[in-house]
Amino acid sequence: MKEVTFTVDGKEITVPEGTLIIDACEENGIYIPRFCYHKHLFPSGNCRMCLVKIEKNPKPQPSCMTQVSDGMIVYTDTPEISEMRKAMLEFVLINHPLDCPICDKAGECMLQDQYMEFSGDKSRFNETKVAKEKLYHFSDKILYDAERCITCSRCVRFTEEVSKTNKLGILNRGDTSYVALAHGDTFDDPYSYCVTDICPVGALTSKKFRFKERVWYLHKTESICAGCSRGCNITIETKDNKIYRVRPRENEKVNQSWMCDFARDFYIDPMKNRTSGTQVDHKNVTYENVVGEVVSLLKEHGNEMTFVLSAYATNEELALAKQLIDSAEVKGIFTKPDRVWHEGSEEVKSDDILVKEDKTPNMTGIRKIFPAAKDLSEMIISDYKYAFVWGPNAAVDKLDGLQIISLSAMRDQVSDKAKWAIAGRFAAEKHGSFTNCDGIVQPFRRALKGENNYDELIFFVGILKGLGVEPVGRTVEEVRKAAE
Amino acid sequence: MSYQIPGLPDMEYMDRQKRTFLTQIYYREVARGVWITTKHFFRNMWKWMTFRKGGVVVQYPEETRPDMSPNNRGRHVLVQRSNGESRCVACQMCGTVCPAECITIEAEESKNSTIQRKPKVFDIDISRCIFCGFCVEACPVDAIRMLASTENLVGYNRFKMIYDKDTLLNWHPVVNDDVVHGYNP
Repeated sequence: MKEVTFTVDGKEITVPEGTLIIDACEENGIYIPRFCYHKHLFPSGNCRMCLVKIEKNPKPQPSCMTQVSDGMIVYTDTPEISEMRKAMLEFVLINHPLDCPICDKAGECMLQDQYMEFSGDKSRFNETKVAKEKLYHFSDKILYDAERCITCSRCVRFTEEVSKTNKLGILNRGDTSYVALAHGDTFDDPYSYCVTDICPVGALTSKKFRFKERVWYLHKTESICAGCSRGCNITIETKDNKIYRVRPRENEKVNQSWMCDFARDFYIDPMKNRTSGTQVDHKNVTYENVVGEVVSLLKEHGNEMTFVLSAYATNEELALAKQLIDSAEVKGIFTKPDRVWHEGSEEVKSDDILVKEDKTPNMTGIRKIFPAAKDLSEMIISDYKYAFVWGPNAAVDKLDGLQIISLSAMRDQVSDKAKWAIAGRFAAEKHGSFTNCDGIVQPFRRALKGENNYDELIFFVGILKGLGVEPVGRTVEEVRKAAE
Repeated sequence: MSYQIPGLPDMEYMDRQKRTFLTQIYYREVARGVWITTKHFFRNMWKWMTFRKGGVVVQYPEETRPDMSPNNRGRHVLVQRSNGESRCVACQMCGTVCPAECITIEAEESKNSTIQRKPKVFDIDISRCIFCGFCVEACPVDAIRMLASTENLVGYNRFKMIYDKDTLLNWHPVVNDDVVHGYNP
């Protein structure tokens, strides 16, 4: 692609042709304030916050609508521009209700941030502010406050361009304009929570997070969504070992800035029916005892055992499992579609935007590490005596007559039936990495402290040590390094 | 004692007393300490005998000092709306600014749609509070104030010293326009 060179505030920048000034500046460390511009939406240029001065141009230009051309000289920080930014913020704040104390967006609000950075002026508006609808119920998920809205049209463009439901539109003109649905309609969009993230002010807020916690108290952990094989990049926000909300994280290759509503909901509602502790014949025993028994089983009956893999397992755990399977000479390796979090909820099958048919996060990782693994439905029971079942939701009738070792975060028929049951952790409780449907390996960090003191990785390290094999690594980082 | 900071000239940073024979035998300093204690004992005794203030220690909480400043930062109270509800909107400003982290607030939806937000839980751990007054300064709706009085800030165990919302709302001042017709945030 052809490259062009232009100057911003005396700094020479080379970018591909067709780049917008606002993007070119941000890539090079110059932040231009904006309300309506969003990287993954088509620019609309209505907020006039990103005005810049371009030499030989009589009037300031919106940098989100202007493409870079060769030899262009741009100024973003002249007194004239900062005066304009102040004036634009004053316009926006004329009818803004300033109810930051009761607004859920306070603390991450673009209007707050940009007012503090670019204006700081006192209000000169003595007249009465225009009163509008404060509690407009868009759906049972989204609440709209027309007074706080600055009509940047980000949400409208989102429904037009990304979710393609065309549910929202802006009604009326001037200071009475507001975002509205068609008469009698509800905002039932499978991506509707995204509008609360892209809303620059607190006009669109999530009802699930409403008044739950102030955002500056939340601890943010970078993670990967375990809801389907897309592997959306997410930020899990926790406080006191409880998930308050899950928001998408920007990744150009995977999910841009979006995420489905479904995944957000199942992260907030903690997984029910969790397993706990370690049991042998339904009696609680210590962890060491179970590891010892499993080791002796693998030593004596390794060739009579089948290993059923979990597609919720991380790549690091799978690497250790492979070492275990190789050293214990386990015969059959199977996988299963274990979709634990999708039970009893309205399921989005798949769509063209993000949601994939395969609801497990790491099936591609299994296919890479265990190319020979077959589906559980192809298993012939008479070949085996023992089954190591990893993860929940294995077809229990397929395992009839087998002695089961269960390693699972969730309680189900298999873990109830198992002779040896070991509690596991679910994705938000461990470090690791998933390989998504396109083969991109994405690492994630632990957001919650697990209920158990050990995770699957430690379990496999213990078993490998019992078998007399040196594990390739004892931590996630070591396993990752060994795999490279 | 001196120490060298790299890049700076050798300097004496502390003005320490020189060690002399008199300071090293200690007896002179001991005698001086005893003299200071004795001096204050007789001074306070004289004040008590002539009925002047500051003579004896106040036996808190049975008695309180009569000469407390009207601007003293004492017990916390929550200001009420005209219907007796708290004026607090649970914005967490006080809890955020509190250096002792003694304020616990949980918000809930208010039935009044113009208020929207109200506290479900508002606890101040008075045993942890350092009475700095930042919470009063931070409050955007003038919901929390501090009285001058420090009466009865005591408890037989530390759980009795956590003041909940009902305790803090138990403030009924003399009729005052500002309080009776509280403003709507």
